[in-house]
Amino acid sequence: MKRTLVIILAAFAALFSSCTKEITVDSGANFETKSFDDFLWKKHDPVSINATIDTKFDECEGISGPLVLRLCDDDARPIGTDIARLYVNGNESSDNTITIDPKNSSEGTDISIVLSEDVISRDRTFTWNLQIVNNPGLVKVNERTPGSDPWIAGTTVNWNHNHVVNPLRVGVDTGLVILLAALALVIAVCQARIRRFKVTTIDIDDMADRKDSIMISSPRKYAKIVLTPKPGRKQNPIAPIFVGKVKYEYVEGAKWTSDVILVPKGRTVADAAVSAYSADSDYSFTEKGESIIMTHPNKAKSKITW
Amino acid sequence: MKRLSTILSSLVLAGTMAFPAGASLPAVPSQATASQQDDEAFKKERRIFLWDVTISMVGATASEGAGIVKGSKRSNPDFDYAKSNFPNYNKSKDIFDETRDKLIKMIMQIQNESTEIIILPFRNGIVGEYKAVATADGKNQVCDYIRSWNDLKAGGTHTATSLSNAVDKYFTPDRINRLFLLTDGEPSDNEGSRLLSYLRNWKGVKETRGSSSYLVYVMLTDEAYNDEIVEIGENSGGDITVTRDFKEPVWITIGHDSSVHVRDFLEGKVSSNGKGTFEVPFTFIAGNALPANSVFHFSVEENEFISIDPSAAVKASDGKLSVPFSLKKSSVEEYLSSMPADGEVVVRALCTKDPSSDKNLSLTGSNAVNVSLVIKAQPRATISWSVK
Repeated sequence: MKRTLVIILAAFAALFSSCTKEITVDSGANFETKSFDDFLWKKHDPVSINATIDTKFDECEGISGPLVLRLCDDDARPIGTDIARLYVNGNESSDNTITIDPKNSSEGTDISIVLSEDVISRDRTFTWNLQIVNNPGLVKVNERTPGSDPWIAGTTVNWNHNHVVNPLRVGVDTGLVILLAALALVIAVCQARIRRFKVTTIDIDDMADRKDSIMISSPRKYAKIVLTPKPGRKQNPIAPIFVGKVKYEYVEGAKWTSDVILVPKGRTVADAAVSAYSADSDYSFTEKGESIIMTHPNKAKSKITW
Repeated sequence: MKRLSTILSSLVLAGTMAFPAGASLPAVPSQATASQQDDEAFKKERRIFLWDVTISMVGATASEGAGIVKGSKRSNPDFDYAKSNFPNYNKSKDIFDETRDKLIKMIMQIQNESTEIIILPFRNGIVGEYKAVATADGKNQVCDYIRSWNDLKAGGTHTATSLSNAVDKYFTPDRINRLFLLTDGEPSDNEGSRLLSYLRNWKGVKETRGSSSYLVYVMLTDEAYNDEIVEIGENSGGDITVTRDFKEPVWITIGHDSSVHVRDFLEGKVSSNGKGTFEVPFTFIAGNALPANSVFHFSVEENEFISIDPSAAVKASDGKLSVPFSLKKSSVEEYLSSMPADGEVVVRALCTKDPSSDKNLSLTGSNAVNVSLVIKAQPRATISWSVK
């Protein structure tokens, strides 16, 4: 019982430790995404973030040409399409760049960044910045002189991506664990309720011409002995888990017309008594100390002693 | 380099014009220089955690008295006090688990994957080392190392030796080096005086180990409190942050560049009376939200162009501090006649936290902002992200 409980608790602990993050940080302006492996019909969506690049141009009347930006990492390396694809105002950018016309610019450019399937299979933190690819003649960008810096100061974004366990898998695993736990509990209760033999020999004295002994090598294994006139009977292999093991003993003779069942009477080791019964109401049983007198339907008698 | 020379020449010009003989010095000290601030926006960071693992961190004590239990054992780590020369246990001083949890939280809050994390447990010297980068795996490994640390022994708290060794070994000019010193006790023997001397000479550390060298000194208990260290921190211009509060630390660092386009505030684009605000961005080193009562003040070095009321409350909004200012001259012409030929002057403003602000809030890193005053027309853009 104790062991079963330990196993159940361990299974729960393993399940929940595998799908719980240590600490979740709510980082406000930073991006947080999650993905999971496909499982059955529950497939993951593309991992993406939506943002607006807010731009404010001042005194740009004299310049011409677009401002072209791209994403780069902390080493100023551009982010290629192998890592993420960029959508600008709903259209995919073939070279992952963002083109903004200072003269015809609204204040915001909507972008979506979709992570490549190759990079979403584990937890990642991306730190990306905006880098100028083409400067139409801006003297200052974010208070600094463009051209000398590896990226535009103040445009760094952090993107925490967590790869979690598929929620369907969590549900299925949890259901299975609960089912197993319930089954284990039922088995444990059934096993605890089973009375077992404490004697190693049961004698059946037919009182006419013969006396047989049934040897029970490991009596505590057995919950029932069935004296049966039908040879070759065997117990269903699953049944012992719930009702205990049954020992079938073939008994020969015309007086044996139905199964006679012997069961332990007491629960304690000291109480080794046995009781008998039959589904056939023509059988009758009289207990006499450490023996039972059994009357067969044909009125023949047998004595069961332990 | 072009920017650097521009700033330097501007500073020289501004200095000669703005600091006549007898002019007062800046009200709040700062060690920041323009070149440092230029570099810092693009440097990767190294965070070093110098973590006190002396036996007193688990409440072990040689003294006796109320609330102190003789020979008591602590469940985790399972520690035999009787063998440690600290035979008693003071539960109220047992801050080991709490400190460890905070340390882990701080590490998990690091957002930038290229940040290098170094954990250095110390007592009579540095007694361990664990290095990783702040990827998800790296952070988990560091946290596992911290969680599994169970080596607490009696011995001195050699803070100065450990600090100087950590700085010598790990501070490099190519990174922002930020060392977090977490200690619960007074340094042993002459380590206290050595520590004061070392901290007073932090400028020397910056000269030899790089300008972006910062210390966050966390006094975990009253025993660790030292007035002189607090004073050194207050006078360090943000290089040394000293805090006694480690409950929910919110440590921020401010941006170092801003500008005021003079015409906008005199010719009606923003205002006509020379009054307005400029913005200073900030980022979190620890924590992720400013407490509600966070108030800052800015002061500006003596100059003839712009003034900032040092008593004005500056509050944060959308990751920025909006600093109110007043232009000292009333017309563009006056500025044109007094500003240098390239039309740009840089003045330095300094940020301080209002004492009434949340005690867990601290500024780390340089507290200086270079405010460029621009007079000529300048095609410019402001670019930022916003989450949809």
